[in-house]
Amino acid sequence: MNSMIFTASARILFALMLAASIFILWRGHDEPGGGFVGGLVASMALAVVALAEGVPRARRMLRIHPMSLAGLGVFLGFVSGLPGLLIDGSYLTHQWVFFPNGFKLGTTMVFDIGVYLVVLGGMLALVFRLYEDAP
Amino acid sequence: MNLLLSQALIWPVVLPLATAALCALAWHRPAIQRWISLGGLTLMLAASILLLVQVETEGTQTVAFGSWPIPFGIVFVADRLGAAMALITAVLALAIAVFGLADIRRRQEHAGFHPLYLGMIAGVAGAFLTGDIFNLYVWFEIMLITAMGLLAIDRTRTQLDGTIKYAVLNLLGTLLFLLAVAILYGVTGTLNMADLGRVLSESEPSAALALVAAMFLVAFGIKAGYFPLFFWLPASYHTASIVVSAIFAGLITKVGVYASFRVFTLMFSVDEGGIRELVAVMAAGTMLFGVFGAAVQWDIRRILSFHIVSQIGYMMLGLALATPAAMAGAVFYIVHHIIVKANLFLAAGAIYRATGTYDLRKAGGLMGSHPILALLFAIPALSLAGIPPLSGFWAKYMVIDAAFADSAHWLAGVGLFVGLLTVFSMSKIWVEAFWKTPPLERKHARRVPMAMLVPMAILGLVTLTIGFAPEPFVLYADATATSLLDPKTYIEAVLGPQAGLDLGEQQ
Amino acid sequence: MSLVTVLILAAAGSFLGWRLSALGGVAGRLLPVFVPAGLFVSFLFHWPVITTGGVVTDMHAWVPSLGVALNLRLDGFSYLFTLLITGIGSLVTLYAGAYFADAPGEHRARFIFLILIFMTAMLGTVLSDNLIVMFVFWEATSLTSFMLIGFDARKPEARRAALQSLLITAGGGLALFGAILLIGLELGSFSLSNAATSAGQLAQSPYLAGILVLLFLGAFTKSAQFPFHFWLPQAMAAPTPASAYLHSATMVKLGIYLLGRFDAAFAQVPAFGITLVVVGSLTMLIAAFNALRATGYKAVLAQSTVASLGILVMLIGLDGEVAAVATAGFILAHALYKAALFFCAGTAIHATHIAELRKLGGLVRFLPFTAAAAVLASFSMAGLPPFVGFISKEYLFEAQLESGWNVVPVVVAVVVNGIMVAVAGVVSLRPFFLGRDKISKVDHGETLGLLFGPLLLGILGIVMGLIPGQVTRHLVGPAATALYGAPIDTSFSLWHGITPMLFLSLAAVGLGAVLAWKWTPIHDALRAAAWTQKIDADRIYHKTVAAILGIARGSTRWLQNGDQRRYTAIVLAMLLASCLWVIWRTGSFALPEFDTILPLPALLLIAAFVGALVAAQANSLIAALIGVGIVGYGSALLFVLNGAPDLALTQFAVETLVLVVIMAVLLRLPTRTQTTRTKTEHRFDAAIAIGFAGIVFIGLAAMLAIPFDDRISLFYGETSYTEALGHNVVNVILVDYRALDTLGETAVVAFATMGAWALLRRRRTDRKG
Repeated sequence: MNSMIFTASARILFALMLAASIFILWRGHDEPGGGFVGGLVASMALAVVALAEGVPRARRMLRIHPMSLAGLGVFLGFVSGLPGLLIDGSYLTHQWVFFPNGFKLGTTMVFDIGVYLVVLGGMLALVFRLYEDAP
Repeated sequence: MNLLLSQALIWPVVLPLATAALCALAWHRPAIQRWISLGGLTLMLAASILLLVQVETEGTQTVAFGSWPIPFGIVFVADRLGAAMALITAVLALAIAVFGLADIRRRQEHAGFHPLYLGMIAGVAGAFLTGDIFNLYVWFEIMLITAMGLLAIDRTRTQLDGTIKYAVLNLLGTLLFLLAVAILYGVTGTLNMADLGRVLSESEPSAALALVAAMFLVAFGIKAGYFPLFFWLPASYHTASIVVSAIFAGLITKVGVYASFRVFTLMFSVDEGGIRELVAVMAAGTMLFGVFGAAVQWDIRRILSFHIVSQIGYMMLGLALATPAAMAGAVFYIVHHIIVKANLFLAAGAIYRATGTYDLRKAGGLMGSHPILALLFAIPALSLAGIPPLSGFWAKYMVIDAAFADSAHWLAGVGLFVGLLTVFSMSKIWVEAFWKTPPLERKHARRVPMAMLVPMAILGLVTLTIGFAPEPFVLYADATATSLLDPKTYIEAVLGPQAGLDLGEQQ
Repeated sequence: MSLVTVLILAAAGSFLGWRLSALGGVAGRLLPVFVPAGLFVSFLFHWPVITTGGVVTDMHAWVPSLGVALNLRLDGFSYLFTLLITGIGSLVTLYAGAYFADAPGEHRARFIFLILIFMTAMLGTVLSDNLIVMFVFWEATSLTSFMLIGFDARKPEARRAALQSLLITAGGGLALFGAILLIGLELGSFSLSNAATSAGQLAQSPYLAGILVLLFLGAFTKSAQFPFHFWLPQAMAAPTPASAYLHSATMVKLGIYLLGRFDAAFAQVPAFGITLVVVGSLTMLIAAFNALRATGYKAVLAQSTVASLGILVMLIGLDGEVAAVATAGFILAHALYKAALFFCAGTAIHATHIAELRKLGGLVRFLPFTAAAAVLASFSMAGLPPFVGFISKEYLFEAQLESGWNVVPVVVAVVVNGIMVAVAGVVSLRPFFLGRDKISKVDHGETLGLLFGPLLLGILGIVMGLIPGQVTRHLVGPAATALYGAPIDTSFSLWHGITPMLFLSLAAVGLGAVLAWKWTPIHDALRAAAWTQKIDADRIYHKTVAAILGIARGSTRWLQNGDQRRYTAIVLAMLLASCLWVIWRTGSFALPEFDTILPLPALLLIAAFVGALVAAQANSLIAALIGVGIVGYGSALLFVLNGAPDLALTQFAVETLVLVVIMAVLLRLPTRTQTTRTKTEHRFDAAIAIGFAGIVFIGLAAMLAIPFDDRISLFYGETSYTEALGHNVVNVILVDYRALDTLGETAVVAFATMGAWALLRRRRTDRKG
């Protein structure tokens, strides 16, 4: 399992999956996708690293504790509602910024990133614990 | 600031949720979590007071999340009942969190005590304030999950056993709830509770709706600890750490009671489909078998756990009668009981701190060694036993008087008899833990820290206030009951006056 | 001073007395006495109003919405009580200071505090005109009684007796509470004085039987009437000053007080009087008999107290003016001599540490003044002239002869009074004068504090007997008038002339003399007889308690037996029963028309059905898992067929994930499960499962019969892009329309992993449990 090839390919796989996850997250508002699936894919990306190079390595790459990640996710969900409160006087009313080229960006994205992070943190917590335990 | 004030309704839920997230963010820093938690709960208390004032001065408050027109988005609604429950949740959460400063161990903090605790508070407050039946389900789920995490926080064998019993039955209840919501949505096409109240009052009787009503009753009954659905409660509460037991004892079951009150006044009626008879039988069984269970226990926490069940029966009595007086009594009972029961569990924790045991046979002598603890125990214990003029007396008075007035003499009789057995249990704890010479004399009595005594004293003070000056509380409960039994006020507050008018013509 | 001020001062004075008595020395013993004594004096100021037949009232609001007002009312009857409560309370406080002279200051202070709090509660009870307020104080007396009986908490018998008295009196209290609520329901107010004038309405009330039974329960438990007479002798575990105060002079008379208050209200109900006469007579017979058997000094006194209470209950049951006078007079006389005798008993026991009457003797050498007080008090108790007890006994016989009752109660009264005479003789002669060689030394002589109370009470007994006119005019007369409800022309005099009553008194005294002379053989014979053990009411009480606890234990063992599957089965059975009941009561079975069968969904459903069967029947976990999997994938395919690819995708993912996770867990478990369910249980489970499936089917079918209201999904479809700026409606629902649900669900995920994170932590060396 610990062969060089596997390790090297795991790195590539990791990068690809992470990129895919961010893409899925991004397009979620208009096409199938979204934070939930994106987070699942991202967690699989890190799971691959954990499998290939061990949990400690994966945790170092993550830098932040998976539970903190989940906490951050929920917190972002909370934060995404605040602009609506301040501008419209109504919590969770999403606000949008329009760019001249038709490009639009809303607080929904912050919310979705929150979902993404929670799923990522949650799945990773399980993965790390289970793989840690493995002999 | 103005915005914060105008949206006071969301903060009792959103604040603990956000602080829970912050605590998780500071996962490795229990000390920081502790202060975040206390800060968040203090703000929550402030917001809840504000909310209650708003409800009292301006009437029922409604907030539509995302400013979607009702009933298309999710709404929070605070009427008198919801606001009062949110306030009492905040009071209790803060008091118990302070008690926790002296009781929660580092290991439990590392296992995520603070975020789980705050999450549970958010779930409870959310359940009290939401105006959307599916959203209520979400808060139930949060309570379920955080409760499981809190119950199993020490990972001991007994805790895991208790957690499993808690999980199986509560999961069953939550699933039933979901199934009921699904069928309800299928019938009505709406999830907004006020809208449901409007639609259901116009709809023909149907087997589907009857089934939904029965499933709601059982689902909430499991959560509330009704007879014969309460098994998880005495099987799990005594295994948890005492702070967890205390917050559970105060709040979790009351969410079930609240939900059944809400659903069976706003959406369904106890007068239809034999719900009244069902609730009456369950109420009598709950009172009786709860107190029977308590009478034969020796572990303080088990005694108290069974008494939760028994006391829930008195609240159900209110729903079974569903007269304004009875509902007022039940509302008063809920408020009184949340404070008193949580305080008794805290007292149990302090007794444990002082004697090193929860087993009454092994404890003793606290009257001499810890007179202040004796006093702080006596206040909630006497109140629970219904000794006048403490809060429990007025609660029993209102409920039993309503039963007599409604010619439900047998229910009143059961209530009185159960009162006697409650006196028995409380005096048993008193005699064994406080009077008796302990079988094994401790070398030096252990001090009970101030962080434990102060929250108990504050909760005791609340009990005494309700006891000696019950009038404002009775008036509040009366007003609450009147509006509960007249769903038009709730529906109009959420959907606008027109909806209520339609309903008025219908009835 | 207004009445409520008196109550507030009494309560505040309790705390003051508590701190004062913690002081050492004479100050600690004397200063607290000023609290009850001051209250006594303050009541004396109401004397002019009361003697002229007036009433003092004091009204305050408390809980108007519940009809509870702090209405206080002082009439002749409660006046008699307030004077007894504060007067004897002062003497008890003084006596207790001396009694606990050697005890630690805190100990004594706690006792004095309880005594004073009790006094406050007593005053509140007899002053309240609102039944609920009266009940508040009534329960407070029970509670302080509990604390005082168990004051010496290290003694198991003290704790037992305390618990017993609490259960009996609190149980009675709850009954009384029920009676009060019913009275309030009938009359529309809790006013006691209103109840007394509503006799007609009460007699017609549909609740009459309930009110009477509950009221009797409340009064009989408090005043230790048959069949609740046994708790009072047990209560003698309390320190003697408390026994003198609570369990003879004041608290136990509350039941009498209550019955007296309702005498006028139930004047038109014959059952009221009959019950009281019968119960009172029975109680006094039993108690008199028990007095002959009792061994302890205080126990003999306690039994005689029960007998006296029986006499009082009987007197209230009798009609007529004389009965009212006799009741008031006897309450006064009894309080005076019984408290004095308890004081003497306390001093004797305190001096010798011997509680048994037979082991005491010749104490007159060491306690001469106490002996004198005992003799004075016992003369009054025996009803000898010129003591006040004589006069009250004359009235007792007169009341009986005047009422319409037959001869039986009279005979009972004579016998009981005879035994009372004997008891009076025995408790004063034996310990102090007979058996001179039994006691050689005492640990604790008589001090002024110990002497003052009994001597004063003993002397009052004779003084009041000598000036009966004054006593009548100022004390007994107003009380009897208030009790009777109409002015009474009383002539409370020492010498009535040669009357039938005099002969009855003579007969009683003669009988008593014989009994006192033959006390020892009678006592021994009664103790030896086995049959007396069997009718011990105390045993019946314990059997009742054991029976209730037995039911509790049995039901709890059956319900809460620790078997998770049992719990689940009961819950599901209840669910099924509720659903059936509610659907049946609703009685509507509008089902949709089934005309076409869609082949593909039908096939999927059959597959899912098979899967469910496999899961239910499988003995191997893996087979069960596959069965469940089939159900899951089947429903996912159904989603596909119904045009919900998003849902189907999620369902597939979740199913797979669940399968994988559970498989991973299963690898560590044995694949074969041992079934612990019996065949019957299996059938029960199957019946529940099938029943529930059937009900859900009916429910869903009925749901389909109702046209679906799709305004919400239409709204989502229309506004998803125009207002929420998203083409993916599912995502917009998740992050916008119902963002709060999603926020909550993300929190669920976070919390779930938190729990799992903690649970899955690798076990280190600490494998404690």
